[in-house]
Amino acid sequence: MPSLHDVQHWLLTVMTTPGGAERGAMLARQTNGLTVAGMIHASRIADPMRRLGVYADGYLLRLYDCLATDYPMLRRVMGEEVFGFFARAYLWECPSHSPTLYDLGEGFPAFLSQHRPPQTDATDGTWLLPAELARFERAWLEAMRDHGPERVQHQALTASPWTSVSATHWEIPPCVRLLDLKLPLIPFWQVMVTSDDIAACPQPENSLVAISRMHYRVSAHPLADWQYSMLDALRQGCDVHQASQRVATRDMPKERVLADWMLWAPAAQELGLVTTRS
Amino acid sequence: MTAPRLGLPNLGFGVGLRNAHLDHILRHGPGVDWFEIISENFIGHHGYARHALDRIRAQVPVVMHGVSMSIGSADPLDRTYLAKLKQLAEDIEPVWISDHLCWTGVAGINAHDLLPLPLDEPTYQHVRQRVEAVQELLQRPLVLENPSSYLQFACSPMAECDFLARLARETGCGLLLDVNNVYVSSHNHGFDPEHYIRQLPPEHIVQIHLAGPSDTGDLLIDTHDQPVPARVWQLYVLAQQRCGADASSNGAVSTLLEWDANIPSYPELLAELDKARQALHGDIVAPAIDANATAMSSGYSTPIAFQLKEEHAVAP
Repeated sequence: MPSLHDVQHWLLTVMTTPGGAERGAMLARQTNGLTVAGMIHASRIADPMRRLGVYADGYLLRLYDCLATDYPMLRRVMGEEVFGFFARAYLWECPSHSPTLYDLGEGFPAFLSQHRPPQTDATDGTWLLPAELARFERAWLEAMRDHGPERVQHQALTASPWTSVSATHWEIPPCVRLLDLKLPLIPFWQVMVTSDDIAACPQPENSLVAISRMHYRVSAHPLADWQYSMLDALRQGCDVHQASQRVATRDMPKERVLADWMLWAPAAQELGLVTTRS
Repeated sequence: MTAPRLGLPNLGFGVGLRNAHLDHILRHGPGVDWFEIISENFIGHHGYARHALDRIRAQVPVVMHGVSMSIGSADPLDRTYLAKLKQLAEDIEPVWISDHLCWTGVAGINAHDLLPLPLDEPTYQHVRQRVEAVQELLQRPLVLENPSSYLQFACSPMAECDFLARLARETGCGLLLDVNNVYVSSHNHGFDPEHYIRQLPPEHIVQIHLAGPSDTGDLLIDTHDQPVPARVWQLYVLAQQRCGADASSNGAVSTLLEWDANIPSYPELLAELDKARQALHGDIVAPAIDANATAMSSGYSTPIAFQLKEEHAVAP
């Protein structure tokens, strides 16, 4: 009589082995000597392999559907066949270890990046697009679920902006995602969401993007270098003076950073990129 | 309103809360007595769906239904998951918390499926000890659902209904009797579904699930993607009668309709739920399983549409 652990390990092997239940059953037999005939109760309605196939087929289809739902734009761009190839490979290499399907696709962008065909042209956006678009879509999904600015009591900036900026504690809502992309994806994304056509692949170009949420609506915003760095510094716990010090360069001294921050901060607040507290 | 079971009330007639219906519910009201949420959908979720849930639960009761407790796994209990589950329960104050008599993974891997257990004495003792541990941690009775299954292990001398009945009596846990799952498993394994229902202690049944399965030609699959078939309505009436309902009542036990794929409009969903009231009054109007709908079905066990993310753009 096999132990509970052995029974479960056997079924999981049958279900999750690449190639389906038949190959899984062979592997499971080689691994622990347990056979389908010895493990599964026989009956007239369906044979044991058919029954195991329900679980094996369901395993892959279910998790594939999850990835396809998490990465709809990527699926459109790659096409069903190519997306399916990488999705199945990912599921086999990175099975879920989380109680929630929300976590399943977390590693997919990195997986795509690691499995870019060797010797591809780094200046060709086509090869960069899958991983970069996956990063963008994952960030979008995360922005939908994390704590947003909706329940924060906003402090309006006063008529004395310098005093207000200095006295204000700026916070980055947890849902905000800052992306340093290798492709300018916002124009690409905008074409994709407003058209059934596949937008032309953008040429490689560093692109700084913030994905934020306001009133439960997610949106993406291009950022200048100093804006990205300010938000990043504030997220790490700096106050606005420390952040501006960190961001300052020879071409953009701290005072200029603070002045530009003062001008941009109300707009950033409206976009959900920052919240304020006295 | 009948006497509480395990201290848990009869909530009346409810449906599973799904993202596709949130806007309609917020605009037009719940239209049901209560909702069941998928616990994992809301663990760590602080977006629109959680905002909607907070507004909805101010209007009607909510219960939490999980799919990842893996109460039968050979792995240790996932204490991190249980702590998050408990925190969610403290936040949204569900009337009860349920999950399934199953395992979802082993060796740290989660298959995200409700997998069948070998039903023998060692497994029983293992599950019993874990149910008691979970109840101690959650400080409330755990409510366990009978899953649909597509295979039985050869090393299973116990019937599932006997396993569940004993578990309920010895641990004090509640039972979520899914009459569709009874129907599906009885077809797939060739047992009498009415006998199954009669074996369960009615005083432990705190909720009944209804759903529509798919007929794949040999096996029935629990797809939750079509109307409840006539045979399931018959089993539903039997289960309610076992729990004390009569033809003049609105049921003795909380009724919950699940629909997780090919999700209909909210009014259509409520029309399907209304059939439960009609069935209790002796009026069962339901088709056999729709072959056309089955052809459109994804056909895999344990639908997950309810676990997938909401649309990117949602109304505030």
